[in-house]
Amino acid sequence: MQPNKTKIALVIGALFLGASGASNAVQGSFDITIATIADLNVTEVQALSFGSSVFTTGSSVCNLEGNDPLFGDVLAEDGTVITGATTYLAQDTALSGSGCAGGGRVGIYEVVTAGVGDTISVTVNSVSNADFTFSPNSNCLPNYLPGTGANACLIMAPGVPNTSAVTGDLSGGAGEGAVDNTLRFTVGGTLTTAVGGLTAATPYSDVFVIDVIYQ
Amino acid sequence: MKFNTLSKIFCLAGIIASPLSLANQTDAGISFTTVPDVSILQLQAIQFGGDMTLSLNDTCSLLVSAAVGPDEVDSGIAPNAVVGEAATFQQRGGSCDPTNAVDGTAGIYEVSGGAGVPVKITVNTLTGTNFNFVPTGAIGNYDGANTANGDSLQDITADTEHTVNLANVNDVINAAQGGSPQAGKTKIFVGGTLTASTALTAGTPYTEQFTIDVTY
Repeated sequence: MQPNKTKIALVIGALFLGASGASNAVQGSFDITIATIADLNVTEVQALSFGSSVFTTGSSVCNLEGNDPLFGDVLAEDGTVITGATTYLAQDTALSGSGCAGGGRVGIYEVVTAGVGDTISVTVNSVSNADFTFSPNSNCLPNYLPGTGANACLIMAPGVPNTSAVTGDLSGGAGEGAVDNTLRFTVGGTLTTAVGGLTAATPYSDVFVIDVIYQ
Repeated sequence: MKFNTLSKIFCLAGIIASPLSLANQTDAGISFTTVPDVSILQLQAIQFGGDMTLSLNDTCSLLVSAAVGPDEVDSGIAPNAVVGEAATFQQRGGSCDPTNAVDGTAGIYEVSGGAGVPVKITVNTLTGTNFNFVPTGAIGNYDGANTANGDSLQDITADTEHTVNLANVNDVINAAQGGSPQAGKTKIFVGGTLTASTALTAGTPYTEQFTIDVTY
């Protein structure tokens, strides 16, 4: 009993001090805020198309070049390949392979990040259905680096993550024209028709998945 | 109260660390359209005339080539130019009367397919019941450009695959050639040499069939 009485007395004492002792102790409540990093969004600037002259023969192959080494290695905001005079935007690219003729359009996609110099990972995935398979094996993922001449164009293997530094490298040279926090990349690749072939004069379409994530 | 505050802080930290807020998965479209089936249509039957002599191995030639004719104008390489069709008789040689200028017309065949798409054309020899036939001729080959003079006639060699481009939507030819190309089309002009493989009967029409192969 005695220990219990002592304990009660101590508790009562504490309550008394808390209620009446404003001059002895104080507790304030203050806001603490934090904002999460902006979501990464991929915007389709130009849809990928293999044109209108794909042959119906089964197991035939059509290639769309998405990384033309003749025209340099970095894509600017407007889709221009920086070190060359040619643009991918609204421009047909000649197709190759026995399965098609004429021209197609490379896919152009834009990612806007939260900060200059953020590093992101991009994965372009294959797609396969009953009519065709698309392997995105020819593309350009620019990797912007400060200074001149150091920017690189990474060719992404299908389904394999690739990292890229996103920065507004406006110092001239190969990076000139890039926009802060903005990364554009191109996707081309190989279209293979199904063994059973396709139907003449028929449109075909599907979707392939692009994953982007902060590193 | 303390416990509750700590609980909220942990919860915020959990959201920041969640990969869902840092990543994005996007479905990107891919599309294409297949070419239309290729087809061939006879506009005018080949006709060697009505004065072939009767002996075994007699020949009659219908002279059709890019050099001899029809030329780029007369060929109607612009498909809506009517010159070269029906009313134009080709020069002949051999055991049919070369001086008869109103007999013998080239075979004219129209190929249809995808605009600007290359096609492979083979005009085949014939070993017939009463005569054999070795074709010559010319095929319109389009450059797909909107500049004049880029289109041409390509000579035919029998049993040989020739690759030519069908006219594209932008094809333009020289105004002197008399018309506008039709997208997705070209023409084949066929003459050649016919050789009697039997003794023929006077006053009798003879007809055989030869083949033209067209593929993408």
